Amino acid sequence: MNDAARVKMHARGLHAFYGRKEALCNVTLPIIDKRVTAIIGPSECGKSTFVRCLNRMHELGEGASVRGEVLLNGSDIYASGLDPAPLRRRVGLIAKRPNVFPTMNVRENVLSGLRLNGIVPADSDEVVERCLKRVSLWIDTKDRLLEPAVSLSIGEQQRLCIARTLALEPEVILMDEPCSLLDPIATAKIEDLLRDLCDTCAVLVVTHSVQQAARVSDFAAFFLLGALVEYSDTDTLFTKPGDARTEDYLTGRFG
Amino acid sequence: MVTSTFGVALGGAAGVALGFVLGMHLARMPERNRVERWLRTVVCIAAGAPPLAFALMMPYATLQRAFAALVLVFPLVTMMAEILVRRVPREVSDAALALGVPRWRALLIAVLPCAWPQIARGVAIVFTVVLFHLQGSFYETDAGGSLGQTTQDAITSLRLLVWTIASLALYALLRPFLSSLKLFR
Repeated sequence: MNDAARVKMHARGLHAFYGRKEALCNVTLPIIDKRVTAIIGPSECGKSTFVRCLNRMHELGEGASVRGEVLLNGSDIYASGLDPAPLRRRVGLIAKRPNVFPTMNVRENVLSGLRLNGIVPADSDEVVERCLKRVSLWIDTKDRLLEPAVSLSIGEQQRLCIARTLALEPEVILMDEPCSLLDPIATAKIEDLLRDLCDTCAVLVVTHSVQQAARVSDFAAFFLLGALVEYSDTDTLFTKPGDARTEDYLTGRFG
Repeated sequence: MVTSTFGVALGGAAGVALGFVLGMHLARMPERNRVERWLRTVVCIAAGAPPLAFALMMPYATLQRAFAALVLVFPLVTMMAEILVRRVPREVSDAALALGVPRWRALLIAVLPCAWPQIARGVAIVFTVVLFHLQGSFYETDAGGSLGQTTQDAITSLRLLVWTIASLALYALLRPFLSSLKLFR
């Protein structure tokens, strides 16, 4: 099956606003299933806004609004009357800064997505072990499951957040600069994890690091001033960019 | 004495419940529309009114005491709950919402436990204030009795002192327990 036939999500003509300010301008971008798509671009170019539009977190901001459509498996997630809560369970979002629940321990954090949604797993121990193993955190935390989640290191907390999202078995995982606060070792672990995650779902990662995008992604998109400048497979974008602005950014002339 | 305590406890509990619900609502609803603006105005006026309201109502019947306690408690609890819930980092509610949790559930189960110890402490302080305001009403007044005005004043001052110390002692005793409370877990 070719990649075009495996489009999991598709943003079409997407505009996003903060009040009257337009943060995203007519973005059309496919996200391919079981592949890693990276979004690169300088600060304030609309990368995070785009990601937040994909699971309808953007609209929670004061005065924020969206125009255009985003298709998930062919259905528009902005269709009128659609409840965003079930959608957010299908499209997980990992924030830049690890946001574990500070009043919960490690185990409760992994199960929090299920518990807060009123889902009682048949075997919660199995869910905890499976999700923590998936993010390579089981060995480090199996004896500390009842300790507060905030006692983990920042890198471990970020992986715990990913485990918490995985417990809901999402179809798409969005990551908004997941390594921006991490050291190189923790970053390497997250990057390894990205490759593993795309076995089961589509992954979209926003990153400031051009090198990281080149390392982990199959497809890459370059954003500038709220607009999508270029989208193609990673090799093409990095070796033969079709737009002079992309080349300037990749070669460090700006950004 | 028993009915006085019952009245104040009843009114105080109702005030805490009302204040808590209003505080939660205002914490997550910015000044978007008339209802929220009106609510904030009412709470601000009520927060400044208690001594005056207390003086006008002369709360010496159980129901009046209960109402006075309600008027004293609810604006303070509302303002406190709003401020303390707003102080919880936005990331906590965002994390819950990103997991597909509805807004109110996210507030109650993810955000509130972070603010709960401070809210519990604040409620204890509010009760201290209420006891301070209502301490005189716990006793039958006997303005026309044989005691002279000076003696009356001295007794009132003594009562005030005793109730203040008792309230602070109660708060100090409850403080470790309130701090260790972790509801909704």
